[in-house]
Amino acid sequence: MNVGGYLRVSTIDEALSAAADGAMVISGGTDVMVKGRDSRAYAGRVLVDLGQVDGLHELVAHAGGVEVGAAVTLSELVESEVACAAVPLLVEAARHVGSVQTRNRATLAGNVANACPAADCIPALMVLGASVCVMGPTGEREVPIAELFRETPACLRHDGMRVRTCYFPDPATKKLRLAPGELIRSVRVPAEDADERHLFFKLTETRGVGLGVMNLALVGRVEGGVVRELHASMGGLFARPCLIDGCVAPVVGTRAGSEGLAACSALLAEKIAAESPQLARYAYKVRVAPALLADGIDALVSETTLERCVR
Amino acid sequence: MGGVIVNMCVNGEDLELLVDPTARLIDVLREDLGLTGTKEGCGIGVCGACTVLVDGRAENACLVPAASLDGHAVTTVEGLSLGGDLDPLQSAFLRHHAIQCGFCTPGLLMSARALLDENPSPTEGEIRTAIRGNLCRCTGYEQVVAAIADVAGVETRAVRAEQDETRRPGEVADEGAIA
Repeated sequence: MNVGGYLRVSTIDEALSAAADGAMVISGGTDVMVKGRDSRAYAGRVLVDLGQVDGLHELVAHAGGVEVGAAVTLSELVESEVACAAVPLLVEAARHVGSVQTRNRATLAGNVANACPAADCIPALMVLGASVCVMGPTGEREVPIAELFRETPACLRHDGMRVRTCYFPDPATKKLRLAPGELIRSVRVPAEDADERHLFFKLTETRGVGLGVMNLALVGRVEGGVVRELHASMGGLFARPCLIDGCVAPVVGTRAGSEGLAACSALLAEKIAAESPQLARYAYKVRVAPALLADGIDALVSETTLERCVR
Repeated sequence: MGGVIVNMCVNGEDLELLVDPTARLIDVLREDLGLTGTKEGCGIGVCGACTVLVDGRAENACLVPAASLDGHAVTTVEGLSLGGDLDPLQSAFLRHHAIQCGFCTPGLLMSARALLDENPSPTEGEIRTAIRGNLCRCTGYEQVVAAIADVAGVETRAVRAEQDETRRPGEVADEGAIA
């Protein structure tokens, strides 16, 4: 790895000043340590580390949900009583990121900023309607997570979307809709309602701790066995993380019977065929993803676990 | 490209180090400090062979920018047996044959140490979760789980299996026994 320098800052203003001068912002730095290995991807760049900026370590209740500072690690998120009570789906997704060792350093903001289409936390944030607080030379703004990511078809083509082979050493302006000099200050996540159900599932090759082949996040409301509301997002399938609420619409207002589930599967297969034909392992994913979505909805409605459904 | 001064405590010793801004913690430990007990396996944070404690919590030394550790404390496997006495976990690993090639052992020990420091009486599930990020191609994990459970004083499936294997024909199981 070859970089131009390392800058340790203690205030957000120092970080913004460095970012305005072209420094690359890191928090845990876990993805950068992998991507920079054996390459000159960061040659000449200064890394500015947010890890010692006090205000960014806060995870607090915010407007009925939670606000997670950019330096909050995934372990801190998982262990937070505030987060476990307000956003259990996000906590569940965060538990699937790497191992304990990785979660002790990696951050939620970093998982978002790295913008991998197969990232575990992003689908959960999508269905929960999260947003990111962005700071930059022109001030502060809030960006809905659904509008944060750019289309990056190149991500679909590299095997397994593995970090080691990532084409984007600095995703800030290539994969995110951030302007030069902007950084993510925090992630804001609305709370789940008490009567909502959620489900997260990560499909992996080996049940190991690496990136999933694909993942699924669902949140919805079921009354008397009838699906009243349902939001869905899947990672590892599309060139831009997105909601797939259109694919699950056939079961809304129904008991999610076999015909409705089949319709959802068919819609997802069509969407993958239309948007991701260059997807690595396309033949596998276009068969498995629709089945996973249907099994996931069935598990959500019947309040069972997806582990039993997926064979 | 200048170096970065980092003040950190390694295995109880306060050090002032000039580290390359590109260096990972594992580079500093192995190359600069000669602490080769920490192994590099995958280099991408998946195998856990390089697990060390940073401020008491398990981290992959291959994923940590060394320059970020100013003011922090690092413990490596060498730090478990300062003064020559093995850590109870190291003794238990030997006793339970939780070692074969040994490459993953330092990482497993550090993950186990982090777990027991934080939770002295973990369940079997918590033990397995704590070492989930440590790949071992030799042991099949059962002896490792048994060794950790032995130190924690908890009963696990792995411990019971060991007892069954070592029991003589006709010997009656002691349901309360741990090891």
